[in-house]
Amino acid sequence: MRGPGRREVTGGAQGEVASPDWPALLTGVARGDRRALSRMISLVEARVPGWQEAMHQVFMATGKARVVGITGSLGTGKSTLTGRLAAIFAGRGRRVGILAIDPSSPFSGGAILGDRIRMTELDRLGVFLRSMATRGAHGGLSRATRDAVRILDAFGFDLILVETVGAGQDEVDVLRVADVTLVLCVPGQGDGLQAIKAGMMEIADVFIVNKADRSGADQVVADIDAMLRITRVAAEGHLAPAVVKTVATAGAGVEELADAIESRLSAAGGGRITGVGEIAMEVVELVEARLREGFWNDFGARERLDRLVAGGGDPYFICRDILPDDVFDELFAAARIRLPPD
Amino acid sequence: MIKGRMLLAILGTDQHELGAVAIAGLLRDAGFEVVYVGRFQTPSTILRSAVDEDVDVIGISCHSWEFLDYLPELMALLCERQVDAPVVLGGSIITGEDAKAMTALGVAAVFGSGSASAAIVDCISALATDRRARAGTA
Repeated sequence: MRGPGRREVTGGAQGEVASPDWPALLTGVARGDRRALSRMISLVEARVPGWQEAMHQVFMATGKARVVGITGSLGTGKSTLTGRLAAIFAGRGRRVGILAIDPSSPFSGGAILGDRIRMTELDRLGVFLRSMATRGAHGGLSRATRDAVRILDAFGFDLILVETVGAGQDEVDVLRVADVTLVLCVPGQGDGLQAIKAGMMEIADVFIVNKADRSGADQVVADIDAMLRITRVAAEGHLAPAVVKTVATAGAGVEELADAIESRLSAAGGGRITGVGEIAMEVVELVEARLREGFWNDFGARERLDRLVAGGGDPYFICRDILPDDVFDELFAAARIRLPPD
Repeated sequence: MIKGRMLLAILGTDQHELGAVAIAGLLRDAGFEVVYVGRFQTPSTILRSAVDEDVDVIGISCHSWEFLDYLPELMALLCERQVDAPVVLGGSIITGEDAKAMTALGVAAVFGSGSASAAIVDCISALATDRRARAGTA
């Protein structure tokens, strides 16, 4: 879904747009060409025609990477900690790629992607870092995060860190890509961790109490321990959630955290992103996005909408004008002929 | 669609960050994704960020002499590694002579103090649109 004020701008007087050389890009990614990697992410993210066939090729080369998700409210230290973890894992011989998500503006569609300034050590370690804006997605990831994870996997990264936007209680999409999920808390977030109790409480494989040099850190640990005792047991194949204290800016506790992640990665196995339920949900999203974009961009529906809204109509009337019942029925009749039920 | 992706960097030990932050906000509001890397950047870190992030424009903010030293090195490095994103330079201490020298190096646009916001956005939009057409991401 797009926020208000975002419009697809197509056509116009600009110069001809080059068509991507997908086979060359795929070969480049397979060969470890970093420029092909980053261009491929851009093209897939922009949904440039041919992207689904290219991703089909990419998909067949995936399955080796493990994915760690890092989430938590804004200002808890996700970026700093992600940088620290990447450095440690790179030092342990892993090939590390990072996807760092920041929000797109609901007004302009623009974004400030500021995660690189917290990850200054990565250059010399060969860690790949790509910043992505949410571009209208609401679950804490961007719409192409899953695609980018797969491209990094096919490229040869064996550990992929996915850092979400500053997330609230309900932005738990990271669960659907990550084999192991880290949830960051900090002292002073509220008694009994009100902020994370509901949605986020359930998704953590490791709780991190960051900024643990501040007063109140032990209380946060105690609150989490208490909650863990009274709530669910670990999901199948997952170890019980751990609680680790860190001071990410100083690097304190991060080695222990890396150990906790390693043991949980071994226990969880890989392939969360290819689980049956996840694939089904992803297909539903892709089909819906295709229908939505096709409808609004191809039939002049957007212009009609603007005109009718400007004319002061009510939403129900305008909806029936833009998509009358007979048109809707015809669309589905065509689909039924082409795609008979099994 | 977004207007483009823009890297925003400050060179060397230049401490002045307000201008870059202001430009970042301006471009965000104009529909750009701004990859903000901030201070203490060198030609090699800028190269790495530009490649990983596949940016359409590289923006350098300067309020100190560093650009005179680093820009020749940066332009040579980008050329050598075939990074096709144009470089835009902006800051308060660029003289007319400097601007000419920078343009001669291949810098696509130079903005001194007093530049109009609209002129900056228009110029960067045009450069980004052009680059996105070449990259196929338009």
